[in-house]
Amino acid sequence: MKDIRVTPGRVIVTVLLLGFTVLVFIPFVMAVLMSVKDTIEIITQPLALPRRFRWENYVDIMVMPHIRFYRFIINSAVVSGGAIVLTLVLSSLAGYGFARRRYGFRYREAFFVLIMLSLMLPIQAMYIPQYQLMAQYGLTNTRIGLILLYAAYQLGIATLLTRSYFAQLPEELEESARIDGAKDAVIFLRIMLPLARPVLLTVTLLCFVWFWNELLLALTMVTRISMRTVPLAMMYFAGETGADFGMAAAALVVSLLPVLVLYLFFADWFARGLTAGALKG
Amino acid sequence: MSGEAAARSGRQDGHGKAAKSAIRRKPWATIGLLLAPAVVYYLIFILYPLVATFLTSFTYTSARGAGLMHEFIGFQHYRNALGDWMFHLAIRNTLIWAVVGTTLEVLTALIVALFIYFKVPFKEFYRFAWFTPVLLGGVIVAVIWRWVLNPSWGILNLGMETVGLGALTTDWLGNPRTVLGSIIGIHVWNRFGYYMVIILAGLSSVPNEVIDCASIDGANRFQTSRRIVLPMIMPVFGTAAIISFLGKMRAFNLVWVLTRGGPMHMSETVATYVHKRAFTWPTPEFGYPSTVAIMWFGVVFICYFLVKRLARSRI
Repeated sequence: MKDIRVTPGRVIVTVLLLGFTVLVFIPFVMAVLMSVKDTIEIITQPLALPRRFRWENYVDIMVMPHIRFYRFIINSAVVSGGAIVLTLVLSSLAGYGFARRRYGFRYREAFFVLIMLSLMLPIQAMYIPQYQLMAQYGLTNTRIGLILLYAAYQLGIATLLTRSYFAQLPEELEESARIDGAKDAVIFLRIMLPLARPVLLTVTLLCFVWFWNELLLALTMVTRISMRTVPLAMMYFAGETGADFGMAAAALVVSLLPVLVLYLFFADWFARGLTAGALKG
Repeated sequence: MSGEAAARSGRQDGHGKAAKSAIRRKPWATIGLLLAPAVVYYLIFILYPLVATFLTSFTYTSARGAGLMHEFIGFQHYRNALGDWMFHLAIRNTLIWAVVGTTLEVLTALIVALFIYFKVPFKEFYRFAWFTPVLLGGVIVAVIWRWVLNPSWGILNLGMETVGLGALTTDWLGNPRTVLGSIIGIHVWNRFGYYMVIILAGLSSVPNEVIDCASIDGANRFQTSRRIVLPMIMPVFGTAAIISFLGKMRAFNLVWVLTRGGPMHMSETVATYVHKRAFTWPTPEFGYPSTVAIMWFGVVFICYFLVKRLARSRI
C-alpha cells in the first residue's frame, strides 16, 4: 500500500462495496439464523437474533430416526472421495501419457481431442443411456454406480489440467533418471507424481465441489432413501410440506460447511481450480 | 507424425548401442498403461452413452417387464418435437434466460472486477467474499432462495414492505410472470463471482505501464476502463460470456429445486423438460427425451462453433 489516505471518494466506494457485500451475504446470514430458531420465530422475525439459540436443531437432524442426516453425509463423502481417487488415478496417468514426446504415437492427439469433447457435452446428452447401463448391471442405488459416473464427467477437465502441468515440467528430469537406469514406472511414481502435487490438489478441489453439489445424476440413479446424497436429501427434506424450517436450515448449514471450511484454507486454489478449465480451454 | 520424428531425432546423441535401441523402440506397454485406462473408461461411460442417445432418438423405447423394448420409428420423434408446444416454451425460456442472464452476469462481474482491479481498500476481502456463492450447488442456492422469496415471511417481501414497495411484492416463484425473472436474478447471485475471477485473470495480463501512461495523460479511471482496459480484455470477456451462455443451456438443479419448471411451465427449461419426459412422465419412454436432447444440444453446439469461427475471423 503506497497511499492509505482517507479521501471522500474512498469512503463512498467503501460504503458502496461493503453494502453490496452485505446484500450478497444476507441469504447466508438468514439461513444460519434460521438454523438456530424454531418455526414460529422464523416466520415472525426472520432476520432477528433468536431469543434462545436452538442448537437442538443440529442434534435433531442427526438423531431423529426418520432423518438421520449423517447417512447422507456419509454417502456423499464416500461417493465424492471414491470419485476423486478414480479421477486422480485416471487423469494423472493419461495427463502424463499425453504430455510426453516419448509416449507419442500416430493417433494420440485424436484420442486427446476425443476426451476433450466431454468438456462440451451436457449431461442431458448422455444420462438416459447411462441410466440404462447402470440399471443393466444393477448399479442403480449404489455408491459405486455414482462413483463411476461422476469420475467420467470430470475426467476431461482433469486430464486437460494434468497434461498441461506435466507438459511444462522439463523433460531433462526424466532423461537423467532414465540414463541412471530407472524404469518408466519408477520415474512416474517417484519423480513426476510428487512434482505434480499442485495440479493434483487443483483437480481434487475442482472435483470435490462438483461431486458434493451434483444433483441430476443422483436424482436419476438413486431411488432408495438410504442411498441419497446430500443434495438429494436436502432437496426432499426442504421440499416436504410441513418440514421444520429450523431443522432444514440446520441441514443446509451442515451440508455447505465442508466446502466453506475448505474454501477458508484454500481460497486461491478454489478460484484458480474452478476457473482453470475456462482459462485453459 | 511429427511428434514421433522429433522423438527419434532427439535421441541421436547416443549413449551406447544397447541404450539407443532400447530408447528407440516405442514403449508400447507403458503407453498402454498410461493412456488405455482413461480412453477405455471414456469410451464406456461417455462416448457409448452419447452414441446411444443419438440412436435412441430414432426409436420408441419403453420399459417392458424387466427389459426395454425398442422400435425403430425413423424421424417420427423429430417431427413430433417440431410441433410440441411445451418443448417450444422450454426453448423460449432457456433462450431468454441465456441472453438476459448472461448479460447481467458478465456485466456485474466486469463492474466488480474493475473495482478490485483499481485497488479499492479491502479488495482482497471482496474477492474472497464475492466468490463464496459460486461454491454452492444449485440445490443449496434454490433452498435458501425459496426461503428468501417466501411470499409470507421471506425477507425480500418484508424488506420491500419496509421501504414502501409493498405494492410490488408478489409470490415471486408462484407467479407465472415473475418466476423466470426470479430465477435469472438468483443465478446471477450464484455465478457472478465466477466470471469476476475469470475477468480478473484477464485484467492481470494488462501491463501496468499502459494504465500508468493513461493516468499520466489525464484519463480518469472510467475513461481508462472503457477506452483501454476493456478492448484489451475483450477475448477473456468473450470467453466468460460463452461459458455463462453454455452453462444456462444445460442448467438443471436450480430450476428443478426452485419450481420444477412451474408454474404453468413458465420456468420450464430444456434440461428440466428432458428429465420430466424421461423419468417422471406418466408413460415412460426414452426415445422422445433423447430426441429433444439431441436436437437442442445439436443446435446449441452448431451455433457455438459458428460464433467461435466468426469471432476468430474478425479478430
